[in-house]
Amino acid sequence: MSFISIEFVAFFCLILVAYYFTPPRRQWIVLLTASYAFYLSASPRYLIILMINTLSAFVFAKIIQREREAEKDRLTSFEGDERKRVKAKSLKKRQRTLALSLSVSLGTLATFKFIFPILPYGATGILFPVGISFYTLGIVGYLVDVYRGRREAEKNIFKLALLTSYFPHVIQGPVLRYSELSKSIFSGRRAEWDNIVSGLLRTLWGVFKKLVIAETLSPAITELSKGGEGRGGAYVLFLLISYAAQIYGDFTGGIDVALGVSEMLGVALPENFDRPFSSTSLGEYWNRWHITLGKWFTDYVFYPLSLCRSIQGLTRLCRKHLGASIGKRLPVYTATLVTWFLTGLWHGARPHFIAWGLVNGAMMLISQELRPLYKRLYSKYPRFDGSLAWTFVRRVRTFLLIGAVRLFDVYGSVGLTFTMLASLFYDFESYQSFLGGGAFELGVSIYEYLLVGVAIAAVCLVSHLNSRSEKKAPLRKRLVSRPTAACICALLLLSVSLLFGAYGIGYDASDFIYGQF
Amino acid sequence: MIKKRVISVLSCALALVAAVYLLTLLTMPKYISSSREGNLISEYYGEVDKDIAHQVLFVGDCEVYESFVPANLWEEQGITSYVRGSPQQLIWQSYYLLREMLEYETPDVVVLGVFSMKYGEGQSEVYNRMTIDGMRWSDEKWGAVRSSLTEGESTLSYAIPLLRFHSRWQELTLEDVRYMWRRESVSHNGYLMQMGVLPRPSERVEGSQLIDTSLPDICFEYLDKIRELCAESGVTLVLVKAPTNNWRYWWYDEWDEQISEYCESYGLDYYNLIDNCEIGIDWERDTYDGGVHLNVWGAEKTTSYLGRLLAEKYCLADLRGDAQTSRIWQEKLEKYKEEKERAGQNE
Amino acid sequence: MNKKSIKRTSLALFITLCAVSSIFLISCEQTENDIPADYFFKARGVTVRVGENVDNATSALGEYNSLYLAPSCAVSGVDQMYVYNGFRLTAYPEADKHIIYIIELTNDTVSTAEGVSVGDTREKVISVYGEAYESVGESVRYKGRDCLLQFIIREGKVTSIKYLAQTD
Repeated sequence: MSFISIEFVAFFCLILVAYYFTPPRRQWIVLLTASYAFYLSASPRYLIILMINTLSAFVFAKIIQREREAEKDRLTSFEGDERKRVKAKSLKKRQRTLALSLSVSLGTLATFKFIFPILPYGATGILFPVGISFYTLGIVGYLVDVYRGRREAEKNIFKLALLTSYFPHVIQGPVLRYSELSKSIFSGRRAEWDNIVSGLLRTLWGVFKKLVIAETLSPAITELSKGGEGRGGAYVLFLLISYAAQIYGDFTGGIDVALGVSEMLGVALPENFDRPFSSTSLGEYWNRWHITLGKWFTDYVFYPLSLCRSIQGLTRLCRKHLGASIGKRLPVYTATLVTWFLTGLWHGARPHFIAWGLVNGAMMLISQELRPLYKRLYSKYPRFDGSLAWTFVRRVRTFLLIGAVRLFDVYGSVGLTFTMLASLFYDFESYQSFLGGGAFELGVSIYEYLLVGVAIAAVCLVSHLNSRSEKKAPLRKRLVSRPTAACICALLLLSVSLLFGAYGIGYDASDFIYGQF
Repeated sequence: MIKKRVISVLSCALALVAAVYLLTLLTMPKYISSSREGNLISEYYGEVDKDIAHQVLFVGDCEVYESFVPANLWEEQGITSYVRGSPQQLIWQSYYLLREMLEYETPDVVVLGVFSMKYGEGQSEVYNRMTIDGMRWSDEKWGAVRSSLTEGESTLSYAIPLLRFHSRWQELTLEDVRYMWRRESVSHNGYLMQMGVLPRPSERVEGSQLIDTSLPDICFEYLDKIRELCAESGVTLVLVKAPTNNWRYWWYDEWDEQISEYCESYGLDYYNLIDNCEIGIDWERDTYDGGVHLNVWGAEKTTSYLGRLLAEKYCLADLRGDAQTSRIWQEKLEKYKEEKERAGQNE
Repeated sequence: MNKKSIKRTSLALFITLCAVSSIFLISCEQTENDIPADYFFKARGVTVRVGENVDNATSALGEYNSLYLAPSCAVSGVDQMYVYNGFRLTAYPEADKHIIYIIELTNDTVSTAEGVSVGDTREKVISVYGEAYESVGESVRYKGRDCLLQFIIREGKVTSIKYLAQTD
């Protein structure tokens, strides 16, 4: 069941009514039923994998928790070295349990993501479970948090089942921290006008971005992603820009639907995007794009890796033999590249995803190294720093760099991506062809391009209005206190999406881009 | 505060319905300057709204709406009729259309074109649309939708055509605005006039052999329903095959036998007009597309023949003596002749 | 039943369900290993396939005997039929070209790529193409990769051979 379908609308209306007619203490059971029903609509087999993962996480977390509690009890009877020995033994046991639990979760993900796709014809009839990439990260985070003592193991398996399966996040994220989600998902509530209207506006905004921006550009991107002769040079630049628009519309649109739907249920999910194209540096961009994934990898991969004994040992060795400068950098650089490698791998086991991850990582490190140079530049020319023109240049530079790396995803091949990027600098005929009307031979008409332009302008305007005052609530929250204005906005968004959206017969029905993860 | 919110929500809902309705009217194809056949089904309601009843109703596909001329039937026999045809109308669509018409009137005779008996399943979304979109909301419309859906189609898109035709926003012209509420009639009581002349090739090419020459069971199920419906309503059902027979739309002997057997077993009349010399079709002159369909001259000849048959065999009254009916039909006949003359001058 | 035992029972049920479901998952179906055959027609040294542009075929085949046209009911577009000695090609309009959807062998002056002609026996057809056919009365139909191959058989003899687009 796609988020943007009449089936989902009917499904959600039913859930919303059932939810608010249920006593607050039992409302989470409605959400659990809805989440499992949502999974069943995809395939019963998806549900089995989810259930096995949930059961495994529940059991292992309980074992870890019980061992910690037992350790606490045991320690009261010991002192000195004996106490240390007991502590070490308990820690080892918890580590083993954690390792086993992670191997089950990550092993399941790895099997479906990496092993099954490479099996010979005949075994590839096995389906890829919906949302496995997202809920696996959630489960891993949960297990690690229990291990670290940051939270207690969930006592009720059905509550854990809800955390892992919560339907709004399953298709495209965001990546959830169960500690945060638990705070709102289990506390019942009454229907609130503000939540429902604000959530509805956000959902419609997401639908608008998906159907009017992302889907409209889809035919051009499909055509250009084939690469090859006649599709180089100017077309690569055009693809870079239009794919940025498409993935923005698709991904942020999907997240808006997820967060909007959740908001209507009174459940708060974390924001996943914060005006990413206004970023002036790569570091800033990755703090604004797919925020929850970035934070997850930072907390559960980057920091543990940087602080682990092996890396610390390597650091000491390098300081001793290669000097303090390199020694200082090594743990960070190693952790950065490994983190980005794993981020690429999370997207897919194919070389172009790994290349995407490593190139992003390398660019972050280069950006880090260039910081002193920029500092010297700003001290010499203070007018640069913070000036409108230079900020604009930095934004364009960041946009183009990120867009260029994103082409790995579009072309699906490392070699082809480099070839097509190189053509930017030598395929001058393509610029002529493009300016001569080549853009209109890609399956998108001039009217559709104009429509996308207007839609992007609207998105920029709303983004600008939202950013003008950080203390004030986003535009949609300001609208809820004005019912008439809110209704007009909702009506406008829905009408525009229905009329101008690219859906139905005659359009390629493309799923959400991140729905494949 | 609650009252204000409730009013807002209700107003919003009403405004949404109004917006969807207006956008639907704007984006639906008007079938005026091209594919005029798309208007045929809805034009029947013009007769309904004026309370005009008919002695004969024709139902079927393009063979029917381009072979039988109600104006001609009136002029020669004083018989009132309507042709409720549409492109590639399927037998189950004919059933639902007939069921709908019989709620408005009870004719003496229903003439059913049999060519559609060859299609056992939905063929084309385009043709489905041309047949079903023109129907008013009714049980029959939803019956026709459910039995006709092809891959990718949804019932909801027939309830809210905006979901199907929204992509026409790029193709909107003044015609779409002009004909949002009212459309000019393209037919003459359902007959779509064709003036062109393109002779049929002298060398006759037969249709290719079929692996399975049996007509689909589902078609006979719907033919049974049509037969029973007519019997319940006291209407005489007559089956007819138009005179056209082209290699692409070939009427096989095996099919003809099956229809004949069916009619014999139920006491129905069936007229296969292919190669009927009495009609007097001149294949050099009487077809506009090389023998696939008849032009106005071919259609008039066919109607003359069938008209004589209907008048003699089914004792249909000659209503030229009835003042009110005469007045209405004289107007229709004049309009028909005017267009024939005007179109003839343009050819 | 107290709260603890309810939880234990629920957990036991949950585990049982997972175990049963795992067995179901492990015994998932394998997809078909058979790769459908590639059926095509060859005449005058030219390979002709259903689904290809008819202009490519006719320019390679050379002069045809006749060309017949047939418009559709309402929407624009005209079907074409090219008649050659022993076979004919039927094509439908798609954008600015015509795509072959039927290749019909009408007499024994031509044969299929596998050597079967009009007039051959049913037994010969089956011996050449195998047992993986669908019977329609006496006639047989084979499902190829891109098309259906039909042998229309009357009284034990092939009267027509057709390559058809899969949806026909």
